[in-house]
Amino acid sequence: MMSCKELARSVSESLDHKLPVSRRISSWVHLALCGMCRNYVGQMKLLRRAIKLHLRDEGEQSIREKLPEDVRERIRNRLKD
Amino acid sequence: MNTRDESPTVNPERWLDDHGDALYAFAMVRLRNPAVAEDVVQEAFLAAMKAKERFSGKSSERTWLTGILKHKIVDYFRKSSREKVYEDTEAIEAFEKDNFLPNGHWKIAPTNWGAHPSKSVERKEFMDTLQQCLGNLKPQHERAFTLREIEGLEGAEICDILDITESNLWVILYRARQRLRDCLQINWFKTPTEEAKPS
Repeated sequence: MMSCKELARSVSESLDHKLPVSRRISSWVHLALCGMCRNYVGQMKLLRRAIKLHLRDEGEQSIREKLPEDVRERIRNRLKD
Repeated sequence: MNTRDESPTVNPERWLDDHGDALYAFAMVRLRNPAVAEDVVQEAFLAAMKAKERFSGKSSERTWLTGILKHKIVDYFRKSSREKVYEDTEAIEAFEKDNFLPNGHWKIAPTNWGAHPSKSVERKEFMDTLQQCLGNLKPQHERAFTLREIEGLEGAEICDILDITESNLWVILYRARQRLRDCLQINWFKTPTEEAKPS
């Protein structure tokens, strides 16, 4: 029977590639029985969704700094060459 | 107007005004370092200047420039990975001791985080917390995580860019995710935690 520690490793791996069938089944059985690990999976899912939404899709909105003027000038001059 | 004879044009004179800040913000989200972001944006504009004849017009100027910028960001990650930290299964076992008992059970029960914040004020603060937590990661972990979760690159590609093996990558991503989770737990969710009850 898979332990919580093994489940946590499997969850992270499953985010990057498909697990072999046997491990998928073991994980599924463990999650059916373990509320703590179900919470953990929920946390990982939220983390991924939040990163995607807040950084990949909306990230630029959180950046308040503009490209500094001296850098702009420098680039403008180099583009003219 | 005979559109067939018109080739799509770019307007380098307007680039800085039209796209400078947007490209800088794009770079900052991924690099979290103003000096590096400035350099990378400059390199992107210079590369775009050299490649302007190849702009096909299929996408907008912004999309095209962003594509070039993405390449420059990846190049930066490639170059900065010369200083490598090798992670292996021993490293996992060491850091798993923080979260798990010897019998493989949780030390502290993971709590239900619910849905992530949807009110706009909360979202901004959450974004800031997230950025801060990302900034706390070790540089190599941050790079791997950014390439995977923000750029959406596959494992093999990331390994090529950072010059690491797939098993190194897997360990790095696992650690990064755990660290982020812990950081968010402490700084944002702050849900009451309880010792995991033995079963």
